[in-house]
Amino acid sequence: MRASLIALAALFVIAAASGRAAAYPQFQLTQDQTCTGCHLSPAGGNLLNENGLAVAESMSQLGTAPEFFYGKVPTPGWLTLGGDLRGAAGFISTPEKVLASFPMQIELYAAATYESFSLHVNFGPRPSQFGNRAATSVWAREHYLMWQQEAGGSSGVYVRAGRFMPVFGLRLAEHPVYVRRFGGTPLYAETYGAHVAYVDPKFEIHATGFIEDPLISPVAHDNGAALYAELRVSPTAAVGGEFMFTDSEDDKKIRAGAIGKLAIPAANLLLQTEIQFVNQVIDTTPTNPVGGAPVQLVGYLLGSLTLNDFLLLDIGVGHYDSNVRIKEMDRDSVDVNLHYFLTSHVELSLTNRFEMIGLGKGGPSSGYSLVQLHYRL
Amino acid sequence: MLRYRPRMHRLAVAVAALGLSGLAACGSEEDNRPRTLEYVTAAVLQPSCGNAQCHSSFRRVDDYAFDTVEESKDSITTYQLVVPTDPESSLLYQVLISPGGENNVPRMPYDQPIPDRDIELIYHWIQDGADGL
Repeated sequence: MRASLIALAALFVIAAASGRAAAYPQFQLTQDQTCTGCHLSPAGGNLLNENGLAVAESMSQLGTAPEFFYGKVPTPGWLTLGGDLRGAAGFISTPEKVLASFPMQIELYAAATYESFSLHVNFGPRPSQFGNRAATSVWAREHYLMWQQEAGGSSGVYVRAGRFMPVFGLRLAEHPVYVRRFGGTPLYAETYGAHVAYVDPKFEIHATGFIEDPLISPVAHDNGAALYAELRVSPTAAVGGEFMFTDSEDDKKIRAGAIGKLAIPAANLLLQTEIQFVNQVIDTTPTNPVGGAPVQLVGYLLGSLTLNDFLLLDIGVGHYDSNVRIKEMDRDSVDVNLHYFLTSHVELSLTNRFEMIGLGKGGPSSGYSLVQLHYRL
Repeated sequence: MLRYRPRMHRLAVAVAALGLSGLAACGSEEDNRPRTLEYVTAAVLQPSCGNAQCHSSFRRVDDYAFDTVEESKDSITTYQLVVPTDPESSLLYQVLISPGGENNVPRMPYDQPIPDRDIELIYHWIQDGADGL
């Protein structure tokens, strides 16, 4: 019984701690002005473009050919392939204490391009659904058709339709950060929608409309729209705004927030911050005549220090208050993550979190320390 | 051009720490939130328990889903997770306060504790008769 409980605990905790880290917004401004400087997607993540591959090679200790399978598997010019494999092991205290090791991500990516059009598909195993395991063991988490104004370029107008994450916020890879988990883009919240973006080194703007996934039992049950805009006020600084409206069968949420990014080259430091105000309106029903409208606050401040050509240290402070009107409903977290880029394909990282509720007065504190191994195909 | 100075860095950290402690001090002691299934689900169970990898419709671990009111009601009634007016006998409450370990039900949520105030809300909701079930 004890062993099975520990195994169960490990499964859930690690599942919650695991996820799909794909992009490194920590490189923005320090390596390139926009996500499209390194990625095919206007939202960042997944497949790298030629410049992204060069950055992967230069940001690693041993280099190595950065192409798909080290360039040993030739692909036609119209086809880009890639993938990510991730696993982790470590100690988790939430507050049950568990030692665990687990896979995080096994996913292949493909993009087929014809002139200004491209079809993007991710494919891999997914956490299966209880009682429906056979039908829910694999999935294409993202799949979309995209048109871009500058074929093969990294700026201009982009239009996408299909399944992807609404473009919102800092889009950090680490999904446990509050601005993702409670900030409108939690793990596996990809859904069907349409996205229009204009990306330029000076500014970018993204508008996404989305619906509740009608094909699977989804994580996010909302229909809605998101708007995100970012202005680079100088080569080392950016400010932005964000707005999201969602409507589900149970509630409506309005999210309004701001972001800021500041690179300090002399200190090899990038500071990023995001703050969101969330107004949730819970629907009134005959059994819930009052409804309810908790006002929430979500924020994150991240400092990324480039220690040398292959070590990146992230220190983040998060705040989430699930109801600002009531005392001791707030959570604060401190994240310390060290990324070691061994080769252009292999990354080791040590991720640590300590978290408090009501600064220790509102509930038990928790944390984890995990070593992650990431292999990019 | 902006030049980096260590004092600026220290000041930014101090301001952030002060801001966090200030934010933590906000709010009232009074908790007049609705004690209903709809509120408890949308404000507590969905964000804390209905995560992608746990008790979401997507995953349904142990066949429980708490990410919508309908799913919550179905899971709670099907598996009798709540005994109206008796929180101490309700599994939904027991798992939130369990010390874990051998001979105890596991502590929930596994990935991140929830505030005591939310546990109190669930306690009082059940004690008041578990409206909405």
